[in-house]
Amino acid sequence: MSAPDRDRMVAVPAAAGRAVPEARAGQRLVIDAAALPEVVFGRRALTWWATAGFILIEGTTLAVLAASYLYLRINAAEWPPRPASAPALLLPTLGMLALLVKCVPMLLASRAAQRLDLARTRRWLTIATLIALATLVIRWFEFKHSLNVRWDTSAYGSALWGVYVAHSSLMATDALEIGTIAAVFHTGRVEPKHFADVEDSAFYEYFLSLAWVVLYAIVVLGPRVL
Amino acid sequence: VHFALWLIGVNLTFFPMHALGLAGMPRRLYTYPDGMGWQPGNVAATIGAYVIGLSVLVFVINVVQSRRRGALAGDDPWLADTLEWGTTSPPPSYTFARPPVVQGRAPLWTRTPDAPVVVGLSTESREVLVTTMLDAEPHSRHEDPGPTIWPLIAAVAVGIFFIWLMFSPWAVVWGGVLLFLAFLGWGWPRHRDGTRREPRRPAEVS
Repeated sequence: MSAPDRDRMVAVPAAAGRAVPEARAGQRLVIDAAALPEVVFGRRALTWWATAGFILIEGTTLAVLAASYLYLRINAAEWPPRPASAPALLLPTLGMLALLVKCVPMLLASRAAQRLDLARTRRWLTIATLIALATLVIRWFEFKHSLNVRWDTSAYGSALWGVYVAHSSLMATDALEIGTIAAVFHTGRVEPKHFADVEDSAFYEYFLSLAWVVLYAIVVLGPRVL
Repeated sequence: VHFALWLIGVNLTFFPMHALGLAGMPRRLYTYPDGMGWQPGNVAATIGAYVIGLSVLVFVINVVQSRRRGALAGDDPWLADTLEWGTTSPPPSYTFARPPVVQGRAPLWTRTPDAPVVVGLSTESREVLVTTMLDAEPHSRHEDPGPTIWPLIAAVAVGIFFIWLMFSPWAVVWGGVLLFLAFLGWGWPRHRDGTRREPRRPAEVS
């Protein structure tokens, strides 16, 4: 057993994990775990389930906030209530598109990670991190210029800011996360399990972007078109 | 005797409390105005509490006596069917030297002498076997982290974050930075490429 980690990881014998008689142990059956892979992807991985659970929690938070927003809306005579006006279209649309664009390098990073391709994973992670930072900058200016209401002006303002702040805090922590993973991939300290982290991170990334498409439709487009 | 006294005492103490609660007596208060009609229930509860006390006394005597000159129970006094009885008592810190393979719903009763065991997990790191969810087919190994001080540091950072938050909203920013640093220290890889030793995997089965 002196093969480097990576060789053992990719080459999984077909019989791995099955009970096989081991010669040195007489007739006793053993299950040889050493032949099993150390890194698995997708729903085979423990961390994938943790990520799915996290998505469930955060998705519920966002859904509750969206529900409060809509509840206020169906009970309001005027939406948005004066003196507020509907959020501007330009920056929020730009921000939403940037979030969608970010999914592309994450998808490519995740594909490269499944092939344990260090160079490509590193490159796409770096690009995704830069786009994540750009989405944060856009979001900052959305707060400053696009919302057209203060959080304490009315219940409408609070509901809108609630949705925005919740999603933005997820975006900020997410940018830290992929930034950190990208940083790890730029050090000489990459371990096989980090490749699986990239895939889980991408999984979360898709959730965050798609959630915003829905929320954007509700709080930015909603007051204008519906 | 301990069990009988306990059963009677607990019911005598707590059952009247249901009735008292329905009659309007507030919880967890020992005084009440005279003439509310709550006295019989409370007297019963008090007697019950003394019975519980008596039962605990019997229990303590029981423990001391067993400790002094009781028969040793052994590893599996119940001839139980479940895995936790399959190791020695008291168990070693690792419970099983090799993960046993379960062959049926009552693992210890259905275990055959040639039951397979799992070998090949690392002896130098905390490696566990991961199986499929329904059929429990082994499919990978998962390495748990070793001992580290970082979770404690992260817990302290979380504490600072929330206590600070009671006094200033800036805790979100600076406490957030603190938290990030704690989690960074926790998660940052320790091994440089190639310096991580291949875990030793004993091949022989004892």
